[in-house]
Amino acid sequence: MPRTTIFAMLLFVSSCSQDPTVFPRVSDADKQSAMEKWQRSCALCHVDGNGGAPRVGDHEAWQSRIAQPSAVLLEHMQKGFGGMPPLGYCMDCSEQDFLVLTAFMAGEGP
Amino acid sequence: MISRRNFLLASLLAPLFVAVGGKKSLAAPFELSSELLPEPWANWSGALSAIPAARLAPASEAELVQLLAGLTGEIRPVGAGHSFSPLVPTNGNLVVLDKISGLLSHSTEQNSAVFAAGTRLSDAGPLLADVGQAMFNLPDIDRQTLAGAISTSTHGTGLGFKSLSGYVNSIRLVLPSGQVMDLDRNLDEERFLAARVSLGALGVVTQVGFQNRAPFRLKTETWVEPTADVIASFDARSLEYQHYEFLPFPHADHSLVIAHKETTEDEVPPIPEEDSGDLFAMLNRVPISIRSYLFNFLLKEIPATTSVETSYRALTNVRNDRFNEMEYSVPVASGLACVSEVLQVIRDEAIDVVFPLEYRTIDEDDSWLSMFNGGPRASISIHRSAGLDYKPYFDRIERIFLQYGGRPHWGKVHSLGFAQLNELYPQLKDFVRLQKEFDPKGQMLNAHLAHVLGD
Repeated sequence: MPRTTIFAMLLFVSSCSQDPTVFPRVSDADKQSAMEKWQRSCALCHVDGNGGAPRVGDHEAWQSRIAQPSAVLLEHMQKGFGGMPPLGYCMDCSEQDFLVLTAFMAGEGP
Repeated sequence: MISRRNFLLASLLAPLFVAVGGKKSLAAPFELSSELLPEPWANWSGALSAIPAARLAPASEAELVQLLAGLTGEIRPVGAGHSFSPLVPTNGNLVVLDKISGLLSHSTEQNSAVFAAGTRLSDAGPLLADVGQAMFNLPDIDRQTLAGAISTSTHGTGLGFKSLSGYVNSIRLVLPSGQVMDLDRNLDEERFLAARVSLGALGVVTQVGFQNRAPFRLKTETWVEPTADVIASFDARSLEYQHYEFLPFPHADHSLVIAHKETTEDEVPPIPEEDSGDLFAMLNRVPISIRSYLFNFLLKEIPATTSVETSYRALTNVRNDRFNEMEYSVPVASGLACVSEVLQVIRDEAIDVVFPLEYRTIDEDDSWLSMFNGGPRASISIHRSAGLDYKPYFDRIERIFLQYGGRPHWGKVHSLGFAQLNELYPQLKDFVRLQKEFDPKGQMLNAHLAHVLGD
């Protein structure tokens, strides 16, 4: 199924419910690749909490974020939200990467 | 700037996450491909966007060479996405430089170093410190990649300092054909001076060499002062301090002054700034009629600060509020008159803006498309909060900038095309000639660059 169709379905489903973010199951290789991207981009703000960014590992600070549906989180990451710029400085992150990295920073994940 | 201690702690967590996973194991409701399928791209402010057909993130220069040689269609390199002018948006191939990063080599004798061009400015400072070097000057935002920063002549402040491009002593380009081209002043001065500020139009910059200096500390002082007094004392103070700038608040009589002086004093960390995330949003809602009274009252309450830090920390700031920006550089002799007129027009015409302006000075350099080619200039920046319509404000003020002989910052909002730019940059035609030679199929030109370079 095309990815754009999946994303549209996610948006539709999220508009009907308020299910929290569900993280995709990924291979160790994909996880490793995502973590390399994290060190180059997300870490710029999420380590020190610059601009009000929730800090990596601050489980409590992340709860209100991951209580939102995946599609809402992805929209915030792609379009930017508050002080976070679109794509969070990660120009080569896929949607899967964004969810994996959120899982890492929130202390959740597959 | 990330604190090194926090980064090390976080980096230790990352491998653990890969090895053992997180706290919970949740079933995936869908499977996403890890391939980079077409997804939207947007710049830092969110005002520019595109859906590139492909986002390509080569892991090495060798991979990039192979990639470019096989590509058809438009090619645009992207760094951190910090440009407000549409240099990057493409529906073709977006080339991401993030993986081509790091310090490649250095010379202790010559105080110089070569970086992979995707290195971020925020990483360059600590990497250089480790080999006993520092950049002469830095812009106040350090998220950009080195390639993006030099390609737009990004700069800091200080009459004794050039833009970042002015300190570049070697460049490696990969042309759209895949040909690798090494350039420096001795090898080919003409091509080197064109490539130092190239708008990403000549090819993909993969390596940048910088002339540096020994590490140093700066004493930073900030204070609020009546704008009239700041302007009256500017020339003397810009000689007293190595790096000096002021940020005049529209609809107010005061400016924030930021001054740096080299020192051997011990480090005194700055007091952490409070998150101002909602400040500008709140101020935007204050009616203009009472804004002057409120701003003058609030600004006088801001205390002066003093800190001492290593240069790359002292010169850079974290921006909590996203915005769009226009910046023009005018001859330094007319800079203060220009910024005074801009402030007067904002007040007289009741232009609804709360973001402060920024006034900096930069020494000349000889890069062909540098804003500072031919003489020192004063750069004046105007901003509008991201998400608000900036066009009427920027259009009005741009007319003033042009009356003062201003040159637009290549990475910030401007409305000029080839004909006007050709009047401002004596070597623009030479640059266009080289662009066609390096990129005969015009693959490096998106719609904006075609407009700017007169294709």
